[in-house]
Amino acid sequence: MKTVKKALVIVLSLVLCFGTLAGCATKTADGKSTLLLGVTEFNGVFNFLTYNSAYDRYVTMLTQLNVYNTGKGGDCVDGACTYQEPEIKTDENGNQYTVYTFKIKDGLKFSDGQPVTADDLIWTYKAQLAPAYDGLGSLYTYKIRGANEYRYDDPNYADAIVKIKEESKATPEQIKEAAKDMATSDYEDESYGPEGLIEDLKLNIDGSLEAGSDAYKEAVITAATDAYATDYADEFIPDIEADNEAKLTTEYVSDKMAGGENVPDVSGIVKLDDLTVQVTADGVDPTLEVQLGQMPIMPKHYYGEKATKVDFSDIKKKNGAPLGGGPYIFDKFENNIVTLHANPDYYEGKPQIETIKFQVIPVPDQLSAATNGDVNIMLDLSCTPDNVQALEDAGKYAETYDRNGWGYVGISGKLLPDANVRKGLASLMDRASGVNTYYGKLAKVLERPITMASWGYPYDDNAPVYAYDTAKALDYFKAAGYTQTNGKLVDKNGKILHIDAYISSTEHPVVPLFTQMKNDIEALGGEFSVTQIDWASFSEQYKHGDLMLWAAAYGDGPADPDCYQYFHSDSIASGNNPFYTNDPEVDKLIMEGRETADRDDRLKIYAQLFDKIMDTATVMPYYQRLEMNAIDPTVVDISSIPDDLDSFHILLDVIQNIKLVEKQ
Amino acid sequence: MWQYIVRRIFISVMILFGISILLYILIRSMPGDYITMMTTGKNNVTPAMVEHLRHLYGLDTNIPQGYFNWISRAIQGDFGVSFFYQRPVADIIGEKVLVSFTLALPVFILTILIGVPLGIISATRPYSKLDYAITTIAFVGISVPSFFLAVVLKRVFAYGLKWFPPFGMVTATEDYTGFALFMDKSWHLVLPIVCLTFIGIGSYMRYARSNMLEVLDTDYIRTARAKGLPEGTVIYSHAFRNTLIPIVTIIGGSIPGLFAGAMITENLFQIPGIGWYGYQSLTNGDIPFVMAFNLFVAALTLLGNLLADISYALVDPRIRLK
Amino acid sequence: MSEQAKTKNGKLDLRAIAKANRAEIKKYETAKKKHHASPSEYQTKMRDSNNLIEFDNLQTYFFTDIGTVKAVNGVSFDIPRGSTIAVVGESGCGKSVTSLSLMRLVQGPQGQIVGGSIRYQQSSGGQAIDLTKLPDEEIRKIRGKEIAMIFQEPMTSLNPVFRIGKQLGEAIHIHLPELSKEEVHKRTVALLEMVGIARAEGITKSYPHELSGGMRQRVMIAMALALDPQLIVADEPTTALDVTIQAQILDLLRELKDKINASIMLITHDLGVVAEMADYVVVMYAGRVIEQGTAEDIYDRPAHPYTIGLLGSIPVIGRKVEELYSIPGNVPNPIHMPDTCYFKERCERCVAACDGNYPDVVELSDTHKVWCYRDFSKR
Repeated sequence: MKTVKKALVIVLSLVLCFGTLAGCATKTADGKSTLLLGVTEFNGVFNFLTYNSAYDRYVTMLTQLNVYNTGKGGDCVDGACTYQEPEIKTDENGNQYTVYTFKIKDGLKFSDGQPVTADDLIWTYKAQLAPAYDGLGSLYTYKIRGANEYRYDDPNYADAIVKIKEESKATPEQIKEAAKDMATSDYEDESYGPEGLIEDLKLNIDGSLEAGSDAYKEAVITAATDAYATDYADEFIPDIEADNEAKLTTEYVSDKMAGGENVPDVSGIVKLDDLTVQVTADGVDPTLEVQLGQMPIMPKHYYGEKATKVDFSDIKKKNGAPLGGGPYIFDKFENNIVTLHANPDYYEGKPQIETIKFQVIPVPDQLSAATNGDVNIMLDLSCTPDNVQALEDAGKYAETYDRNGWGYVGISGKLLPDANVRKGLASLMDRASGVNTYYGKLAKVLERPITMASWGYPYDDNAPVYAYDTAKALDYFKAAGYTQTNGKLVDKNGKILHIDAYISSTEHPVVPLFTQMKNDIEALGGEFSVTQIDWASFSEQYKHGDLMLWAAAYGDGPADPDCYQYFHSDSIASGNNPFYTNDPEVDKLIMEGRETADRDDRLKIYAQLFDKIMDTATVMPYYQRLEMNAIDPTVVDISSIPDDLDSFHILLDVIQNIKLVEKQ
Repeated sequence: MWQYIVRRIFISVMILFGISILLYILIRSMPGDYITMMTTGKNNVTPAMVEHLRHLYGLDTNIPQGYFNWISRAIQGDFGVSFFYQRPVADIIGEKVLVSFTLALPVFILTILIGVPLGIISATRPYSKLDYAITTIAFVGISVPSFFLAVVLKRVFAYGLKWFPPFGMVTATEDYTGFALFMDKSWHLVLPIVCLTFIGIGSYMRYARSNMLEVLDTDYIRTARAKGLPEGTVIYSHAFRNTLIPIVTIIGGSIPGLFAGAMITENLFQIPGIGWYGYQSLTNGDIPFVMAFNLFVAALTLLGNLLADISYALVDPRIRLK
Repeated sequence: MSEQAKTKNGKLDLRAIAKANRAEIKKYETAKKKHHASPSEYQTKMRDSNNLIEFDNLQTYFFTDIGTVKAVNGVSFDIPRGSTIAVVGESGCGKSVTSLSLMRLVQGPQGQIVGGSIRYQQSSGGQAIDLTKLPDEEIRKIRGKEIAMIFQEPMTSLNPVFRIGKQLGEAIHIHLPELSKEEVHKRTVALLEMVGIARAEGITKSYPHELSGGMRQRVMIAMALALDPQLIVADEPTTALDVTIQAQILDLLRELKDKINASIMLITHDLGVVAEMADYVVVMYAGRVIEQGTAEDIYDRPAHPYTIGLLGSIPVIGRKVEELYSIPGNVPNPIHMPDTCYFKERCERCVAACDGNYPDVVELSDTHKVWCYRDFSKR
């Protein structure tokens, strides 16, 4: 017994000693300057072509030379190439096209000593157009000449597409099928049902059939199907054709990807000389310049060794070892810490800071890491009043800027087709209180559906459209045909106004807003239910436009105010326009905004566009918040940080010029 | 015995097949897939792009086809490339499992070395103050959630007394190598080890205690005493040997668990082990990772059962495996 | 003696009971754990030098959560050298506890010997010792070597994870450490042969679960005999075995009894067994001895109504009865023993005096004693 006890004591004390002694390790660092930054996570995919996390991108871009660097507001400025405006030309048929010329500066090298040439840039463009490309870029959606021929490896691509379009015409069977589905779902919809069908479609049903019986159901559905197939065919045809086209295209693509290479180059991307590349694209698209310019020149000899347009596995193998001509050279990613060393041959001169390290810090520890000085810079620290106060108290510097993103409440044009109902709901949102409760002074109420970080935000024309006014809201509901009967807000059929609101699990700021809306609607006599669902389910429903009223946020988009994806009626089918904004005026202005590159003209167009979108009341912008990096002024020389940083032109873009405080 | 083992392994392989089918059906049936989740809310994503991506990731097949694709490669040892991390799944799992193992092994050894003796001691002095003290500690250990304990440990020992670092595997600002690196890692692992050990001691302790109490009540212990054996021999030879039987089976059964990671603790202490990644892969819909990792855990579980059964046969002469 | 003090509102005051128990138990446990007790504390003198063991007013109590159970409540009898004593009685009468008290195997901390003495004449000669006052260290030297025990359940009395040879050899080795391993092994095999086990060599390598019940009991007997003890306590050795094996074991015991020079204390409730083997018989009821005498005394001239009832309950082959006789009623609650004769409620021969205190001893002859108020003068 005693010996066992003794043994236990010895073991326990050994463990304790071991633990504390381990802290007295000797240092082997050579004392050169090191900057330690904290991030939230790394996936280890350090490759511009394949990354899927912003933090991985931060690290990767430090090793790369960009064609153009990103300046304030997201504009293109000199980088590895000297900035040149794109040229807009007209061809003999009167169609416009744009020519982009990129001239690489003399004498640039990658960190392994190889020179940076036009071949490398062309290779990087082709990689993003290749069918095996599965990254988050969208270069191949642009009208670069020859891109589709290259991508589908078919010199007769144009003909093939025409053929596919022909083959995807909706057949009568498909129309009937879709009509039948619609009729059946309407029949089973409790709020609509056979009565609704019969009344709206003016169906003739045999009176002898018993309501609710199978024969009755069949008769109603058959009649409704016929009615839908003839009178409403146009509603179904676009969806059917889009489906057909997608299927045929997929088959076509997979066929093409199986064979060898027929089209090795993109006709619209041309090498003018060893250091000059010219890209030609049909039409005028102001957003293409950013896509072509604000991206790295990747070394073809390193990444393109064994990769083919259909096989990127060799490129992906190098995810953990990025190589480029940037200011820093990647060393290693170990134990959740990334280490980079200054590139002595960087063309603008060796960076001031010798070693940069990124460490993954769990979110609950990020504030302490910043205030205790355990990291020198904490990136993307949550910008809340408490955190800002804590940083101030600890003598740390908070670098804040408008986040490239905006929070909103979506009001479905599909599930709430009456614009007056939507406007009523828009007038029931006390956004100011919501923002204040959650963010205090660190966020602003947003009045237009675009982030304030973009140059397209109409600073001169952003008066609130729907003020918080319960009386006005009631007026709107009444205009939609609702009356207040027996304390309940009902429509002409006696149905109570019922709103289903959804929050995806991460959107906390909307909780006070929805609570207030619920109280207000119930005071008026309506019903308001709030459901919180996980991201996976939310994405599904979002894509299918099944959300009636929801809160979410957009972020990390380009600086360009173009919002075709979100608000154009064509985007409804793809699921990117869950608002079901379906207004020809809106569509027209969106297209106009894309047809010129003149910034002043575009600003005017977009001011009008956003007003029009607000008119539709399918989206209520909610908040514009700040982002924050916490910087330790005892380590980083604050005066070396430029004052024109924003959410596009970020600290890491200029890190090679940042100085550390001289150690006394 | 060998026949038994071979048969068990054969059955286990069948079970793994069944599990893989179930797993695949489940994850393909979950709402939202990797592509949907990655592209929702992002502009610039056209439907053609989405279709194309789904094709690249093999998500445009129906479930049986998709499973067939997966299993035909898996049998050859190719478990695919993780959607999310873009590296071969086998590599990622191998790396991270090693880290988890480094954390789990000391915990395992300590919980046994502390838990079992404590259980035996409290059984020999039932209902004494010592017994109550030990039992209380054990219950606290079992009941306290790991995240709560982790946070408390961090607050007291890392932020308060500053004896240990609050997270991470190594000190970021230094570049240790060799022995210094080993010491640095050990220092970083102390708090997670303490956290997990404290939670784990309870069950071994209670198990040892109740088994020991049962054994001490048996007739053959009375016989041993009647023979005139010294109390020490009675307890540490006769009783202990019998108490050991169920404990050895538990130990054998928990060895595979050493490789499965501790999700919450690893995340709170930022130990890049397999636990957190396994969870992430589920929420991301990263099918290759989910399949490989969960099958790995399933295989470990089956192996654990087999080890437990074999250990049982080895320590208890009454059991013969057929 | 009464438990009234420990009731509150008519119900049991459990906390008071627990508190009292703790105090008592602590007293006895500390006494047991004493190291280096001086021999004078436990040395004593036998009343009669022919006796090997003298039980003198032994009291063994169990301190339970609901009260104190007086399992052995003033038991006195002698075990002369070389004789066989049978202790008979119903289940729960305290006969097993008496034997466990002798070996100091009463399950602590609940069970404690609280009073009386058990005097024992050691084999080495010299002073007799009081087994109840012996510290734990000392009693170990006696257990197995001078006093050995055979238990009731052969199926569970052997350690399932050790081989037979080891379990037997262990006993020998602990008391005779000077013997070499081969010698111990030889002795083991010889013992097994002595108790009638064929293939003794092979059996030493077997595990208990590979043996039948009868063989295991033989092994237990071999263990008991291993060191030539002076006293063998057999606690219902055949109860758990089937009838044919029972007969075999009894034969074995009888055979051995003639060979070895030990006394046997045979505990049983089977009167048939008693008749064949016992020299003396002690009848116990509810923790006390109610009658004792030679086998002849008890069988031919049973005095106590309980004994009479016991003998009457034995079914006789060949005799036809409507209903087998059994003593009416039940054993009284061991926690609340009345002040009167314990058998009063069930006795068919009660007299007025039975309402008084517990009866004193009545010596019917040199050997025959009984505790009863009946008028024996008329017998």
